[in-house]
Amino acid sequence: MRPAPFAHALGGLAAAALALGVLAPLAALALRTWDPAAARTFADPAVWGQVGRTTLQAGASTLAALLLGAPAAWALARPELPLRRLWRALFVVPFVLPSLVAATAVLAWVGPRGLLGVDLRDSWWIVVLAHAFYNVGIVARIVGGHLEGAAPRLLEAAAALGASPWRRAWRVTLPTAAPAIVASTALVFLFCFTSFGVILVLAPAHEFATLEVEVYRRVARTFDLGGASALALLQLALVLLLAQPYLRAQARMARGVARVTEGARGALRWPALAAVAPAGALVALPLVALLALAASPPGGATLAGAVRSLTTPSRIVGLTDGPTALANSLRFGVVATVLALLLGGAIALAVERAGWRWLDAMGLLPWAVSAVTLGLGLLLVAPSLASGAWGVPLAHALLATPLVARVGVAALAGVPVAWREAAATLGASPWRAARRLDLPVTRAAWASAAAFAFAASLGEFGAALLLRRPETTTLPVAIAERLGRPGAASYAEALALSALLALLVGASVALIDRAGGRRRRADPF
Amino acid sequence: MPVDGPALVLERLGVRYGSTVALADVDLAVEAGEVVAVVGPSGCGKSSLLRAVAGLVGASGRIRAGGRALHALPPHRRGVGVVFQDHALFPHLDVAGNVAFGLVEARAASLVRRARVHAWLERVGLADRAGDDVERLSGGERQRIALARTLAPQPPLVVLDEPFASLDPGLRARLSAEVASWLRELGAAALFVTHDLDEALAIADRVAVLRAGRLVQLAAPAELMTRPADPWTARFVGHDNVWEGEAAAGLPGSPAAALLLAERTRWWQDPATVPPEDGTPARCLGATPRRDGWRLELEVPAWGVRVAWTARTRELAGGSPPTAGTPGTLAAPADAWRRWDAPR
Repeated sequence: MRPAPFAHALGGLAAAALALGVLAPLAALALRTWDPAAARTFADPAVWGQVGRTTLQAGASTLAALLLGAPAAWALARPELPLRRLWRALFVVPFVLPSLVAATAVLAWVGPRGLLGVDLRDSWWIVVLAHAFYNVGIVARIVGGHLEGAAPRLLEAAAALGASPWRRAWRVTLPTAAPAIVASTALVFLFCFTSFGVILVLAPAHEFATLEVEVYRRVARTFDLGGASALALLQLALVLLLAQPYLRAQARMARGVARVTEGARGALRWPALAAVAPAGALVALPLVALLALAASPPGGATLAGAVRSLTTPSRIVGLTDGPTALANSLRFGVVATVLALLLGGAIALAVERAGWRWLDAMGLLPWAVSAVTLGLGLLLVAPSLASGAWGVPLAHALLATPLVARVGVAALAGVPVAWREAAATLGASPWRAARRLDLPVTRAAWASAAAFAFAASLGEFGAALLLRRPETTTLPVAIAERLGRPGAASYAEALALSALLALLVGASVALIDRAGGRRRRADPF
Repeated sequence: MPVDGPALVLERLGVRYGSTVALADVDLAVEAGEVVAVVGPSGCGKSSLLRAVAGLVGASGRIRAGGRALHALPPHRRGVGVVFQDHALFPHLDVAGNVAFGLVEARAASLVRRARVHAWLERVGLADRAGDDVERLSGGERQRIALARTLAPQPPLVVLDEPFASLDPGLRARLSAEVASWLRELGAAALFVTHDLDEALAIADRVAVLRAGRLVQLAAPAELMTRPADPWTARFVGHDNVWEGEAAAGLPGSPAAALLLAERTRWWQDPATVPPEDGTPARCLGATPRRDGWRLELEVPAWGVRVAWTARTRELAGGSPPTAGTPGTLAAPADAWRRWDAPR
């Protein structure tokens, strides 16, 4: 099929938008770093100490997620695992859970006034625990999904060739899972290395700060924009380096074995349950603690009181009231989703319908550039825009664009060439074919991309915090405000807001995803 | 639609994929209302020919239709209807929506569109399935909807890429005959790719034989069978008794190559019965059972070759095949031979 002219035009627009929204901020960071005072940041031993500690922290967190997640992944791939769909749904929760909600949940479990009665705040334990809670689902889902696709048929073949269960695990399961294990390990390491909200809430002491946290602190506290730029660039370089094993492993996974859904029914019910239980508990317990404490907050506060104080202008001085934060979050979420759909959709069409392969890679850039870095860059390029009403939704749109573009590229690539040829030979121009064929058959994919973009915007914390003004405060920022205050009343409000945010994110994902799943029959054009 | 000259003219049509030549210098003219079958072994360029005409692959050379130059147009402006091998029905539209797709692009008025869709659904016998999900259709039904979808906008040119490949033989024969009649009714010029020679012979006005990207013969079915262009084509269309080079040297007239149309020869099993004047002694080497009789292998010492000869059971003495070694006589009249002289 020939490239479509309109797709070229969209590609040009998308490239321009990415250049303005991502490359220009990065250039501004680089210009700032050019300053000798800023460049001296790289010679600061304290900075490298921070990098070293963060690396160790990310390593430990990743190891914890892997040790709990790998057995869970194996169990998820077993057809005899009881309540398999429930376990799978449970492991999706941390995927969509905003980092601030995750942090609050862990706090409700093992923080001061926590359900468990031990206070692990400001310790490596709570950091590793929170990261494991947040990321164990990634390992379980990625590795589990990969194993499920390949294992049953291969294991049957290996058994028929005389391999015992242990030999099968060693010679088939493990090698099959290797790329998925490498990919999820690298991804989790990246997330822990650049962790922001979790660290800020659970371990605010200086020694636990990641580069991301340090960038924010230099901007917000000391207004050291040069130093912050230098650290942001350092983090970007490290992330790009660390992303290499992930990208390679992912490419190997893509060449994986065809999916086989039916599997051998074995007698591994109890082992499977035992393998999934620790990871399941790790994910479930903080969530239970959050809901339990939100329903009956400690220290004399009540849920009713928290809700009452949230719906009226806050009695605690300096806090954004609940309705304002909620309205901001919803408004920003809608704007960011629409913009991300437009930009991500344009990228996907240009990549798939006009062959702009490089735009695919460029569209991933906002993922490598962290939220705080992007916020800082936007602040440097266009200070009044970035800190105005459009700053946060713009940042959120850019941050959600890679997701929309990835989903869109995959969906459009999945439209069989024959369908497009049929549309063309029936007289549909490329533009008409995009409207009458591509869009309707990929509707479900766009809907789920929209749902995740919306959820990501609702939960995004780093950029929202960096660009905040009292009138642009979002729910996660409002939660952080309250967690930073002493007193039972503000804690109860934080718990209530976290529960509300978790609910909103869950509902938006469930609703939009479902609406997109419904197929339409009539042709409106 | 009155058109000056042929409905479709291909001039030096060529297709290459990188350095691989899929189609080279094909010249072909198809009249309005004519069905031309395109046959050839796998990889001979059949599909490339269709895709080039439809504009789905880049091609060199010229494609003209009714005075219009098609080769410079994108596929959606060519007016070439395509029936795809795997149907390529749109899953997001129901049966009627699929059939209406091209009519919508042709800006047909809503009433006309509805009437036309209904008429085609009637014609393909699926009028009661208009609102159905295409994924619930059987293979044959899908094929009918794919045909209706392509033919509903009444394209002046239609190309069909192995449209019945996925159907079982009975359905296949019935549907292909119907399609040929619809195409003639529409007055469309049609190119029809198939790997089934019987199908091509049954429904085509002319058959184009492609070999390694080149057109080796374009002829009416009867002529293709009795006067194949060369020994390769003779074998391709199913003839057994083809000899070349050394093997042909001993044949009457010592041609470079020759084809013996066995159905125009006769064989007498008993040399005692009066052999005809032009008979040649032949001995039966063996017999293999066939659906409609026996396939005898005859050795003809005078020619230095073996001849495959199919006999109906009732033509054989006692209804059973001769035993190995039975002597006899083979009579081959002049019109049973097709000879090729060595190129000079």
